[in-house]
Amino acid sequence: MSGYQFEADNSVTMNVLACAPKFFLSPSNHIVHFQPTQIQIYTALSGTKIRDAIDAVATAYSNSLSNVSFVRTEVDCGTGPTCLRIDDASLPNACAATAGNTTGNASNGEITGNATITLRSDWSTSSITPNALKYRLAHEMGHYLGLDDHYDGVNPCDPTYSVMHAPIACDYSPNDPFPKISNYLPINNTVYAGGPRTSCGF
Amino acid sequence: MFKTIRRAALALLAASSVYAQQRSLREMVAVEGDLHRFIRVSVPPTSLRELLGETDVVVRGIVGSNPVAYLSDDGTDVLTDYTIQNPQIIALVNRGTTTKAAGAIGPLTVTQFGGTVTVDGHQVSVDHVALPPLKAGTEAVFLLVRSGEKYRIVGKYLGVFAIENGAVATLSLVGGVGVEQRGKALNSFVSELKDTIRGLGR
Repeated sequence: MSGYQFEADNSVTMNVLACAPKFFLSPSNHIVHFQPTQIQIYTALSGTKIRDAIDAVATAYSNSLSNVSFVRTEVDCGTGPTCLRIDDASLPNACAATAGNTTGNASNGEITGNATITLRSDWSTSSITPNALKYRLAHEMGHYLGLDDHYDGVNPCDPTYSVMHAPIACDYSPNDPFPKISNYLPINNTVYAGGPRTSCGF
Repeated sequence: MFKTIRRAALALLAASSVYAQQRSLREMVAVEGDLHRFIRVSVPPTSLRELLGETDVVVRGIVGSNPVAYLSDDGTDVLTDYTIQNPQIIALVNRGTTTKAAGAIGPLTVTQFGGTVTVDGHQVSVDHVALPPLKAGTEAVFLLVRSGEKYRIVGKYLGVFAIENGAVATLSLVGGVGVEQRGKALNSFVSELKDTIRGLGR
């Protein structure tokens, strides 16, 4: 490290990340994100596979983040800003899709409603393992928390260190499918704490 | 048989711009007023060969000014029509659906997902994050599939490659195709396209 002189006898906290953060920005140049509150997750999809995956990823993010948390609900939470809906559809050339609303140019980046994760409809088949499903949910939820993709050739990052790697096979099934420090530290320090939107300076 | 299934799947995606149980933009506007809706997709690694397998025609041309944005038929998305000026057909891939000979043709219309419209007095912007709006004056190679009297970009976001200083500069933000082609000399890229098409037996 160069260009900076530390003061003597003062403690310094340095966070070293494997992956430079990449933020998902709104047209108003703010980071897209859920409101700093508890977000409910609702799905009408059936089976324990999807419910277990949602619970596991919601817990992982909730335990890692300081200003926002997630909980799955069996009651339809509607289309408001604190509800994330998970459904499925035929997505022939995509693994999943995310969609949500902000208020455009007047926005501070907060989601204002209609937040949805749409999984490709083969999520329930044996080709998509439980860990592959968890990884996919962790990746898509990362977008709602202000994270962009770690694109190959642009701002690459080994998927071992980030759930935001792209592109990646739909059946990618890591041993650890949950968000990593390269994902949640920038969320905590930048998205929800107003820290600098840079690759350094956490 | 596989190609037939892939084509049907792509057509389904092109026809259905949105996903399960989605509210219309008019319904969203009634609740939220002006809005910006983002739609992101997670695309698995995709090869040039796969894209060309879905392509009717490969065209080089310049994006015209004055694009026309409008609501999709189901009211859940915005589409934008661009005129491609001075189009030159590089290759006819699917000769069964394209009758024009290779060479110069008249202006053609390419429909891209996303855009900005006014709905009930409110500005509605739908941002398909994977492919930013085309800019007037951009010269590009387009991999297109016919849709009535218009054309759509193959792979929804993937089949458009800008030309800058005689080299390929991809526009799509997803998928592996763009990364592989970025910076390649235009002549080499065109040769690869034609070689791949020949390899497809077209």
